[in-house]
Amino acid sequence: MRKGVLVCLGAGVLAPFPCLAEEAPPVPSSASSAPACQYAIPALTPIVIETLVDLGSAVSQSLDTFPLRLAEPIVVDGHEVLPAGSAGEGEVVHAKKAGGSGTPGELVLAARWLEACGTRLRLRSMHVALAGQGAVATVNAINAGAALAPVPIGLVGFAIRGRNVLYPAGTRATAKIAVLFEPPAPVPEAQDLLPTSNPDAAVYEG
Amino acid sequence: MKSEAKWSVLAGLGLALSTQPALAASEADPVAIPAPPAGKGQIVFYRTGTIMGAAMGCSVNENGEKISSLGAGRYFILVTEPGRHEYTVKSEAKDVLALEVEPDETQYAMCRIKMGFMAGRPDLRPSTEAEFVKSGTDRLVDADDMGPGPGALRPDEVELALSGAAGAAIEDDAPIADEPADAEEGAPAA
Repeated sequence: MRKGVLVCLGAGVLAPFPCLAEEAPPVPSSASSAPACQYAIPALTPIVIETLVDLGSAVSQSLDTFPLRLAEPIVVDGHEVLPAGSAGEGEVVHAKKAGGSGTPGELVLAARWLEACGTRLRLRSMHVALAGQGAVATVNAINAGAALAPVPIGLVGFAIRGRNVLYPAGTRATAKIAVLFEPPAPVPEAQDLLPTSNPDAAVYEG
Repeated sequence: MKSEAKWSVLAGLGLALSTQPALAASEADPVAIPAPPAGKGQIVFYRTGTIMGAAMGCSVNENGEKISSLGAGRYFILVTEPGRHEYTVKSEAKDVLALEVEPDETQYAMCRIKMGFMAGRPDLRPSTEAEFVKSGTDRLVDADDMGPGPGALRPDEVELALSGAAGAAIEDDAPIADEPADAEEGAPAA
């Protein structure tokens, strides 16, 4: 015993943690690592997701779908009910390229679902509705000035373009679970002993 | 020299004409937007009060049916079903904006009149509550400029919704019957 302590102390100079780990009580984590799918996930539970591909007003098309993943685990009442990394899908609700007359690009995204426990959890409230930096005011200012100018300089306004929106892969956003997720009811063990309609399934003696 | 002075006057005039809404508006109280009815979503469409294209209306349509016109510096609230909706504005060119309406949430969309060949072209784009407040847009569209498409709240409906929300807040905080009478002093104002 004494020898063990000495070895442990000696080794502890170089690597203290393995010795401590044997006797120290486990450090409680903020979320227990119980297997997922055992707990319900209430509707409107906020989640953090991240997109996995580049999206943007110039590169995306309306109604395109895009992959996303759960960026942070879902924790309910201290239980980790869904680990980070669960795959899901979103949809480009609206994408419009920047155009002339200072029109900015536009991008509206929606999170659709997240794969979990063999089912798809419906998502909502991603709140990504973006417009790039426009130059409509600048073009209008030029036009207003051009109204008094002897030459039609206002036409240059058609050539002034707004900026597109870029939503790079890996960008995080918040969303919510749309409806209550209830874990599947566990199969009662006693059910195995119950007689079934199939006479070959169970044989009773006596 | 003369020519430089002329250009600076023109540029100054242009900037003055296209400036953002009246400064006075930014000091006023922000517009109260009622919460949507339970299970429904809503979009606040607004248009800033610039002088450019002020004579033009920005008529917002869905499925070919006019919901409401937006004059300069005006807004309206559209209550609608959750899901994807496409709204169009049109003059010599058409612009489409699709939004995802979420239940019990409010979204914002802004119309601007941009440069066109013969007339200004309305441009509809997604916006935010912060931009709406910053714009100082505070006048609701008149009832006779709304419809025939359903969903746009008339001014009296907005008032009703706001008073209903205030009433609900009072009910939530109102003292229950068993509480002592002096608890009435704690009832909040509308």
